[in-house]
Amino acid sequence: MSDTTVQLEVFRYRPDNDGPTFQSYEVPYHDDWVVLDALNYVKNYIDGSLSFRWSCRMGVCGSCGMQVNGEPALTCAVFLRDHMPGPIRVEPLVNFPVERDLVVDSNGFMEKLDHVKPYLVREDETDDLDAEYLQTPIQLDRYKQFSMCINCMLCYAACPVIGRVDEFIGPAALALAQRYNLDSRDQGKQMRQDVIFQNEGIWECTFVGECSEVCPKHVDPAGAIQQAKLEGAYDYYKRLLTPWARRS
Amino acid sequence: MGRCNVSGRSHEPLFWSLFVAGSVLAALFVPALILVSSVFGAFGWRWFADAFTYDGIRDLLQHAIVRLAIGAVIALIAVHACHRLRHLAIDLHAPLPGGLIALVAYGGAAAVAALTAVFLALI
Amino acid sequence: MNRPLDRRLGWTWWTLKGSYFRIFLREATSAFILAEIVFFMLLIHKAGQDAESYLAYRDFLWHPLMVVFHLVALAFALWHTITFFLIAPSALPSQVAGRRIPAAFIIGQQFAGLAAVSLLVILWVAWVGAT
Ligand code: SF4
Ligand code: FES
Repeated sequence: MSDTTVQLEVFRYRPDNDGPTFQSYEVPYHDDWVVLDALNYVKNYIDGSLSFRWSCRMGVCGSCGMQVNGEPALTCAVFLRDHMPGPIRVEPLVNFPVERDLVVDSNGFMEKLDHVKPYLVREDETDDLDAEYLQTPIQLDRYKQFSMCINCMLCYAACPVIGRVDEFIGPAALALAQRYNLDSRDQGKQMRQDVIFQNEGIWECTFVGECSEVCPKHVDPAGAIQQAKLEGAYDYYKRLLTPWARRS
Repeated sequence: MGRCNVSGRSHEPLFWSLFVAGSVLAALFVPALILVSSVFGAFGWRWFADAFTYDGIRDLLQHAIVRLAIGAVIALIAVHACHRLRHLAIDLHAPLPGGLIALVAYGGAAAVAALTAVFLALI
Repeated sequence: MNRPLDRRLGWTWWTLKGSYFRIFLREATSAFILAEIVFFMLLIHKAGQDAESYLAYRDFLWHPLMVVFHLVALAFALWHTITFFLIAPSALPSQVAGRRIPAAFIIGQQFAGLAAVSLLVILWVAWVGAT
């Protein structure tokens, strides 16, 4: 046990009590502790009623996202030492409905992921389990960055447009759509574009760009959305100029 | 956060593409435009003051090609600025119908473009 | 009973942190750019009228207080230029003909373009003024 401590100001909310409050906890300070370690200390030694999500402790599972001093972050990746002397304010991700304490409702997000059909779509689906769809490194490189997402939802918490339009599909899901649209093995682009070329798709975005700033995996969803806008504009004029072309 | 609406394909690409074209032109031309038309001459720098005497500006705008280019650049920059103002209003949650904001914004841009064309033609 | 708590970002989002505010300033550049475009449009309008009304309007544009405004507008215009150039690489497809283009190269090219265009405009006006 170290002698230095740090003050955590933790957002508390129970649906059946009154509005949210902040509760302060004094936790030991260690050089190599992340915010999640401090929360686990609270849970284990001070207040077992505190609720929050986490799993991997290593920036892979994407479940420990919270606002740390106002910034959306993976609490397993933010060191206490970078926020000393404190106090450190921990809140649930903004823009999401809060279920309880630091736990947010991610159902809306999951639905949005679903909408963009985040899987390889093939017209020539075979039952041959040994079928191979070869890809060159250059083809892989086209979408690789957009495939690194861990669904941590930090980008949704960073996006002011999400706060305004509930239906906005949002950064991660749009980057995911782009990830499959750019995949040489995929044939579902048309279907996805019907979804993402709506207003609630890419066109609500005004390139605030904060999603890419907070993304722990450098997915650059803002870039993905702008690239999709270029394609959307191209597609728009193509449809305008060739109205007779067959649409699937 | 709720479900994704199915509102059909958007017409935003039309405005957005003009906006981007105007963004490029604004990024390249507006700083120089402000400097030569409104700053250097005001500082009393000879050549620039001379370029904006009555005869000077008529010289500048003499060629049809120059007028055409200036008209096109101004029109696109106007669309750029108005489109961005429209989205700024929306992003600030302006309590007005979206259609009205769009009408004012693009109507304004169209007015600037049309008036510029007329003024250029009248020189 | 309070059901799930609503914590959406409201219309004041741009005041919450510096990075948001810089984006707000970027969007606000449009107001200054529009103003300067309208000033220039009116200058063209006056150039089509008699010398007297043209000069009156020009002197208004060149009034010291107006010059202060122009300089502020210039700063905003440059903010548009800079932000636009810096985000362009991520908005463009990452490959051209199978080759990755370094972001620094794209950004450098754009600033070179700005320098070329500005120089051209300035030299052209100076040349017309000098002859
Ligand atoms: S794009 Fe980045 S910030 Fe958004 S959910 Fe994926 S990993 Fe998280
Ligand atoms: S606990 Fe898995 S990403 Fe933080």
